[in-house]
Amino acid sequence: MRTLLEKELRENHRWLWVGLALIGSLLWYATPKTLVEGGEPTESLIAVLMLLGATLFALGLGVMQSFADLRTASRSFLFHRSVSIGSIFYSKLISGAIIYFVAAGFPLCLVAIWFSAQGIDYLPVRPIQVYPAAVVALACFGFHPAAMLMLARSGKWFGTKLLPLFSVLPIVAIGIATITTILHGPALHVLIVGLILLGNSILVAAAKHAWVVSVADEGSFPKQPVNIALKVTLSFAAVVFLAIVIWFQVVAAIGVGWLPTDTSNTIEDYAIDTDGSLWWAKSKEIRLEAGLVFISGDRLRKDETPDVRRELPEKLQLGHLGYLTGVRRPDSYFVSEMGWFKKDLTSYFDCRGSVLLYDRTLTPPLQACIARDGSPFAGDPRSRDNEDMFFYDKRGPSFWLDPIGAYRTLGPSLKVETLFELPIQAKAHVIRHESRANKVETREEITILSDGKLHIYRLTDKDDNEWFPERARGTSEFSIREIAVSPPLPPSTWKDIRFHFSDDSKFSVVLTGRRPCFLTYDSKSDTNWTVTSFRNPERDMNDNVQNVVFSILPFLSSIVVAISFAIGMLSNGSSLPSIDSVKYFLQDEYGYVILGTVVVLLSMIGTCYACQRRMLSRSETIRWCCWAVLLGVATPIAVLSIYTRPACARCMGCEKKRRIDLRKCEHCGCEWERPAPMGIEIFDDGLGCEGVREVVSHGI
Amino acid sequence: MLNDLAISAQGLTRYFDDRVVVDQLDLGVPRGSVTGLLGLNGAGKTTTLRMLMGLLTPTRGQSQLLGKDSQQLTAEDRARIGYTVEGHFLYGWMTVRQSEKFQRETFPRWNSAMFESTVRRFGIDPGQKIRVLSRGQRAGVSLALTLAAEPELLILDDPALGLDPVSRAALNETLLDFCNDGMRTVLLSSHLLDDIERVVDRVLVMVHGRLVVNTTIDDFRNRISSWSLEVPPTSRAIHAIPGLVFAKQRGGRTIVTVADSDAETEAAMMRIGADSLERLPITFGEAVVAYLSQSRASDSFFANTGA
Repeated sequence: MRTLLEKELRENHRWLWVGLALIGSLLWYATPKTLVEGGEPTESLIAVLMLLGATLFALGLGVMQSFADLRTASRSFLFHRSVSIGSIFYSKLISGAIIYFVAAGFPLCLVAIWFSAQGIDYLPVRPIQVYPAAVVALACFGFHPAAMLMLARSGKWFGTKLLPLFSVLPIVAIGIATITTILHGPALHVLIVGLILLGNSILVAAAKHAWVVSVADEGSFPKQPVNIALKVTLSFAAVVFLAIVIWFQVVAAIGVGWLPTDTSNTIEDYAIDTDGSLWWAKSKEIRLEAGLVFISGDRLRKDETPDVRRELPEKLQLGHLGYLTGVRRPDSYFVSEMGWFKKDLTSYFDCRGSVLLYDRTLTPPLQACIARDGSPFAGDPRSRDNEDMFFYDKRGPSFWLDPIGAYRTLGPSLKVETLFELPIQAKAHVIRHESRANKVETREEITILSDGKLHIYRLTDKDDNEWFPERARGTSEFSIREIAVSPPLPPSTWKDIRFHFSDDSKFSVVLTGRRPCFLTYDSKSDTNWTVTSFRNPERDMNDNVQNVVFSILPFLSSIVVAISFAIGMLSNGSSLPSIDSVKYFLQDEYGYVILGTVVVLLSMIGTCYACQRRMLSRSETIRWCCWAVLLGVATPIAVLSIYTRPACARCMGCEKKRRIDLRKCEHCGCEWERPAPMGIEIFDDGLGCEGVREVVSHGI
Repeated sequence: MLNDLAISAQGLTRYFDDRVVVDQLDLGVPRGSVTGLLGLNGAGKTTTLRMLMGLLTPTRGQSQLLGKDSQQLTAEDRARIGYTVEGHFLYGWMTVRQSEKFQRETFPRWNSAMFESTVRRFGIDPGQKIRVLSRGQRAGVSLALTLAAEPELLILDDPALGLDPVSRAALNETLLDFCNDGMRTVLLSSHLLDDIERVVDRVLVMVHGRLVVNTTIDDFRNRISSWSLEVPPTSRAIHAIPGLVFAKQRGGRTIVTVADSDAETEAAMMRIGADSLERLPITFGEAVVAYLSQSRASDSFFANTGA
């Protein structure tokens, strides 16, 4: 093994320099060198360029290592020796891994060292920012065994030979997930790395199998005579299927931006009237300063579909509902532009719980580091790690919200003071303009969803008057006061929460989703929510795109759906899916469940057909059909990839087509006819055809 | 009897695409013999050797080397078998010495003296890179690497391809020395009939993927005869001669090569109108060429007469 490893390393070390040059140059391009380039996209850019470089390098290395030793002469020379083919395979794999990880790891380490040497005093960078790229590199190594598998297996290049490359894509997709889940805790990352290692291990096992078992099976069997019309039809169907898949991916990639949009500047949305009734109304922007004007609409009633084109009654006053949006945790190590503090200052949020202020005109540029629990301090915040602090959402330069509370920054001292502490799941900032005494007053409210309850806070001035005067914006001259709390919202799977809080302390809430409902609660008289369900009136473009994207999931496989469901739950900070969450999923996402079931059935039918084409036995067909339940449409593709279609010839016994690789006809049991003697055969006793045949009587 | 065979095959068949290259081959090579495998290009020799070596999966049928299934050869089994690839593949970036080290560490029984003597016989400097060696020297290194592993069974795929006379002589001498003790089995594929005649004691002839000769070289010589007839060269009646291998025209007479001729063969030749019948001496090479020419029917009058 050591000798083989040395041979591989000596033979392929030149590719190391190619890999170092390729990956090194890409990473150097991705590395921020000035303050302007720092911040949020650093680790994403590094990881994406690593994805590009590592994919090319792993694929190329696998191809070059395999191709050189799979040609007829070199294969015969290398494989005929007193070592197992498994050892030869592993020597190639290990040497490839050494070269690959040095080529990917060395530049990555240099970048980390550069980040460390640069220090946070100069740039918002940390060595840990190379972590997503390292995970991506680990995932992309799958292309190496995939290339070895691809070259070792028999098949047509434009038939099934290239298919192993597609098996790496889910592994790489899991690796890329690291970029967006980078701050979601170690459990998720252990899961991601575990899945990558598992996926790569499966690929390695498949590649080894191909080398050990199939490496001697060069060439392909003859094709059966095919019906040209059938072939054209199948090819057309395959092209259409591919086109649909690609279309789905394009739609998912470009999103709603490129899709046709309504050019009439009208918006269909929920609205609420002065009586607290819910409407589905169309509004239009007449002039920028005038805002939206309602032009038509219909009142929403229980189990009725509203007609948005209906004319609105005169004197009806409608208002829009507010949006509650989640308090996002930062998804990168540094979030740029946390708000303007003063001219020339650039701010970054450090996910460890501080805000960094840089002045581009000074050296070093780091001027201040603001933390929740103390005064601003200059210098490196690493000594004050506080994992649960997330200054993230902002309203003006001096008010801050994070998942555990709200804060204000006190004047020029930049001291941070806690306004309240509450676990915050979602929040809304409502600004109201009201005319009073010929003067437009701005009133501001903060609505927070905490433990299922809605909390309404009002911004007041420092003397705790009713409203926070606009002139105080940008200063710390304000306070905050809770004015109402709702009962807990009923448990349900909703997509958005739309809400309205009236001057007379009435809550109106719309939970949107597949089964929307309207909830009202008067904090002065009611004890709980009054719930009215209605039919979903909206189907906007975003929903359609989302539906299309989600519809792809069942096409993949049950395993992929389950894994994505579990990762989704874990990345949201939840524990393992509860029975209730699964129940709600099945109730609300029944469309996907039905689609998934149809896909599974189609996959099983396709698998049966593929097994029939490959002439597999009944037990093998049943086994593959069971896999189809788990793996979906990948299963028939796998069957077609793994098994070669056996060629057939006409049987002299039964006249039917029989497999040429079996000794006896599968239809009539007839053996192959001996070629007729030419009359010139010269064999000495016992070593002619019959002699050898008599000695060895066991057949295939 | 199977234990006396170093190589055996039963119904060995291989297709490439829709073409059958080796067709239901039954084969036996006794232990201790030196056997030559002959055939035209494309007759299926290399395919057969690669199937025997377990480097190519047969479409059907099976074969055994030293009593082990060719497709199930273990590392230990391969250590007992030497194999040189057609074209003498070696790693060009290695030196001769590095090649020896690479081979030595992947074969347990290594005879350094054998390697050195073989390399010396071909006039090779062990410090040279493989890529700068001549074709003959490369063949020498290849042979040295194979023989130094002290195999019980040696399979050589056209080792003399493209070699100059001196290198061919060195190759033959090395092989004769190697087989001197009569304990080793050699299967040698080649187009060089003189070399084959000098080295081997058995001969196999393949025609269109089928084995038509498998016997000792003496038996082969004895059972092939050549006759000169006075018959029209285009006569279809010539095919009535039993055991007719090949017929050709020479100076107004027809020369026929016949397998296993007897009184009936002579009578058949007389019946087709041969006025004078003359038995000609035939060499091993001529006999083999007759077999091989028969398979290449397109450029012979043999084909034009309805063969």
